[in-house]
Amino acid sequence: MKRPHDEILMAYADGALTPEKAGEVERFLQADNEARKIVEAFRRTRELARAAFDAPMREAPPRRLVDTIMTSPAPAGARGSAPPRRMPRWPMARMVMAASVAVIAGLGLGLFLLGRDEESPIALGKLSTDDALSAALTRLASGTPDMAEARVITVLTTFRDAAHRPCREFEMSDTSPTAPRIMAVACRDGSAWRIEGAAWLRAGGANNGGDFAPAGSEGADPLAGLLKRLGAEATLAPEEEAALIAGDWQEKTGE
Amino acid sequence: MAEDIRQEMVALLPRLRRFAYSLSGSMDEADDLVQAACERALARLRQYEPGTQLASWMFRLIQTIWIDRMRYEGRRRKVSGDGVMETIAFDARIHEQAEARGLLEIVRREVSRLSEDQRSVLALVVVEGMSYQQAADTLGVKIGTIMSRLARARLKLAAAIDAREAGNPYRKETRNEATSR
Repeated sequence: MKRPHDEILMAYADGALTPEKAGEVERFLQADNEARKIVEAFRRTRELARAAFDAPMREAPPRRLVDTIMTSPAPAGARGSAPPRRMPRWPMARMVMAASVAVIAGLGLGLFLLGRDEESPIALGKLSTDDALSAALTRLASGTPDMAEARVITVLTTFRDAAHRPCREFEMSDTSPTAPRIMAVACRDGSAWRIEGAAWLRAGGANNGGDFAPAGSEGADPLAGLLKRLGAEATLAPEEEAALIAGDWQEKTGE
Repeated sequence: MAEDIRQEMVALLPRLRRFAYSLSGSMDEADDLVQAACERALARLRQYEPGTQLASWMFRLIQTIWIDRMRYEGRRRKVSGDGVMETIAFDARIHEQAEARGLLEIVRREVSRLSEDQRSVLALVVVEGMSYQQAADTLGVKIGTIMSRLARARLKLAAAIDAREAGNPYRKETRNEATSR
């Protein structure tokens, strides 16, 4: 058998061949070192190119884009063409904007800072299971923003803490461009989610979007301290996360 | 209906940004492209056939806008310095090794050197995870064309990576080169 074309070797590396055809290629590869290298090159380029452009999947989209989508006028004649009404801003938003540093609220301290104010967009502690945020945490896969009431919620990662509880780090923002962005961590507590800590990120700035990551500083992640205290382990694989979502976050209790 | 589509579009944003990033090589430019594509999509909502893939339609809009801009400005694209900085911060969390960081930078630069045709296919299939057929449908070309462009693009990429690794595997100079195009 002649060496298959590069396109066939690529399709093999991509798992795009029928089982019969793949079997043929496989038999051929056993005898041809050079062809194995080519297949490996295709695999590698797929992994690397995917990783190289993955950043947008791990962060919430800039608010200006969400805003464009929610408020750009649809053409006359399209049904439902009126832009949706904006939700009133949170009363505390201005105050947060004034602070140039993210307020980090974690555990005991945070309860004091945030927990008492009914108007604050996120309170620490257990979420009611019929809360829109709770529903979003239960249902969303990481990296897919969704609207819950007038807020955009993006789960960034799922991990387990030192107590082996499943936890999710997420970002939440109002669709109004001046509202603060909130990053928070919620962990599973019995059959509910518990907000373990939150950081408010300064809103606005000339360059909205990735405005919270001061270049070159280790402390760029405002939740790093909280994650450390929780004993966050490595991010769960997408399959594990999918299984938890499918199983409604019920843990098997038999061990 | 329009409201459902808006929500669907918001949910697609990470994928749209990733696609635009892989075409343009810069996060800022990617966000501009996505913004323009969303505006255009909403203005032409009547052209959208419900039941067809919103994602494919949006990808095509992004790609068209990108090609138009390239032609209009008649320029070769450049690798943006701040785009690179931003992804370094991100990569540090996922790929802990400095080595991987350097490698991904090389990959981004090599992707930016591909032809537009090759880059679009690479972005749809490799980065976005479309099948060859879906990419063919999205770009309106034959599946054979998709496969040959993709294979060529990836072999070029592999050769460039090999050359870098064989030469000087991991040095700071990669950053300087990236910014001085």
